[in-house]
Amino acid sequence: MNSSPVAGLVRGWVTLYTRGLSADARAARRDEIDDDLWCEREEATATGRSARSLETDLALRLVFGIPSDISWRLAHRRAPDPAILEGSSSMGTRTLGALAIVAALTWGTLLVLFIPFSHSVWTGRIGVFGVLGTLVGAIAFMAVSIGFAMRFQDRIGAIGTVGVALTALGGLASMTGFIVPLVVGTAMLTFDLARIRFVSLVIPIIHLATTIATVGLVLAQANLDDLGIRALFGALLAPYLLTWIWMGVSLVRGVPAPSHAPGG
Amino acid sequence: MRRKEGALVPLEVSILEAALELRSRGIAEAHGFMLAKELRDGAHARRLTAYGTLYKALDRLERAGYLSSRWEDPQLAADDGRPRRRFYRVTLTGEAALNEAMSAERDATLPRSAAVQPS
Repeated sequence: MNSSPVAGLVRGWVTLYTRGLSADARAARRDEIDDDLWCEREEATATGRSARSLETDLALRLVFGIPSDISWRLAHRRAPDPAILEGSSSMGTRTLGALAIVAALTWGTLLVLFIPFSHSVWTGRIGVFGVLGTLVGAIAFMAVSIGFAMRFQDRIGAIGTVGVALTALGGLASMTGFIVPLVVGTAMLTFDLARIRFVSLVIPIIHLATTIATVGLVLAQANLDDLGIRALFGALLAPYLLTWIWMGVSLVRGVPAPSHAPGG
Repeated sequence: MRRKEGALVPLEVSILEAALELRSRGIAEAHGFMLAKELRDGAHARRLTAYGTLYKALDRLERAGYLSSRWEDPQLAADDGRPRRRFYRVTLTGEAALNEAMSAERDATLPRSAAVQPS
C-alpha cells in the first residue's frame, strides 16, 4: 500500500466525497484508487523516480481530478432520503417545494430581524417590508398546506384534514402575529404526512416541540419586548422553519416513485 | 454546455483506443492505472490523467455499455500483497461507438481538407 502523506490525502478525499453512497459503491471507488496509488508507487520504484516527484504527481492528480470527483458525486447522489418516500418531480410538486422554501426563508429573515429590532420590523422604516414578508410567508404556508391536502387527499386522515384547516386559519392569524394555530396545524398535518411516509417523523416531532414551546411562551405571558425572550422565540422557531426548507428542497429536487406504507 | 447523450468526449475516445491498443498487444482487460499509463505514453504526456477525471470517464463508459468491468479474485490480490483490482474490457457496443466517433471526426475534417485542395 502507498502510505505517503499525499496518498493518505487522496484516500481521505475519496472517503469524503463518497460519503453517503452505498457501502459497495464506496468500497469500489476506494479500492480502485488504492490500486492506482499502489501501481504508481510500484512504477516509481521500478523506474527510480524520486519520492518528491511521485508525491507531486499524486497531488496534481488529486487536485486536477477534484472537479470531476464532485460532478461524479453529484451524479450519484445519496439514495433519496428514506424519510421522504413519496412524491415526484412534477411541476406541481416542485412549486409546492419552492413555496415552502420561500415561506421559510421569508419568515426566517423576519425572525432574524425581529430579535434586534423587535416590533419595529413591522412599524419602523422597514415596516412595509416586514408586513409584506409576513403576508408572503403566511400565504405561502397556507398554499403549501392546501397543496399537500390536494396532493394527498385520498390518503390523509382526520388528523391531517384538521391540520390543514388549522394551518389555513393559522396562516390568517399569523398575519396578526399569533402563530400558535399555524404551528399546531402544521404539526398535525406533518404528523399525518409522516404516517403515510411522505415526510420523516422528525418533522412533526419538531413541529410538536415548537407548538409546546410557543404555547408555553403564550401561557407564561412572555414579554416579547425583552431581547432575551425574542432570542429564545427565534431559537424555538428556527428548527421549525428549517423543517420547511428541508421539505421544500426535497420536493424541488424530486423524490422517487411512490412507495406505499403498509396500510397507507 | 450539456453534451449529447451517448456522445464520446475526447478522453473517452482515448480510453477506448487505449484499451483496444492494449488488447491488440494481448492484454484483453486493463485496470485503471494501466489505462492511464497507456494514455500518458500514447500522448507523450508528462503526467497521468487525474484520478477524478479518469475514474469518472471509466464509470460513464461502463454505464453507457461501452466498457464492461469485473473485479479480480481478492485472493489473487492478497497473494500479491496489493489492493484488489478492477479490470475493464471494451464491449462490441464500445467498439461501434468508437468507430462512429472516429468517422464523425473524419467527416468533420473532410470539408476543411477539401477546401484547400486545388480545383
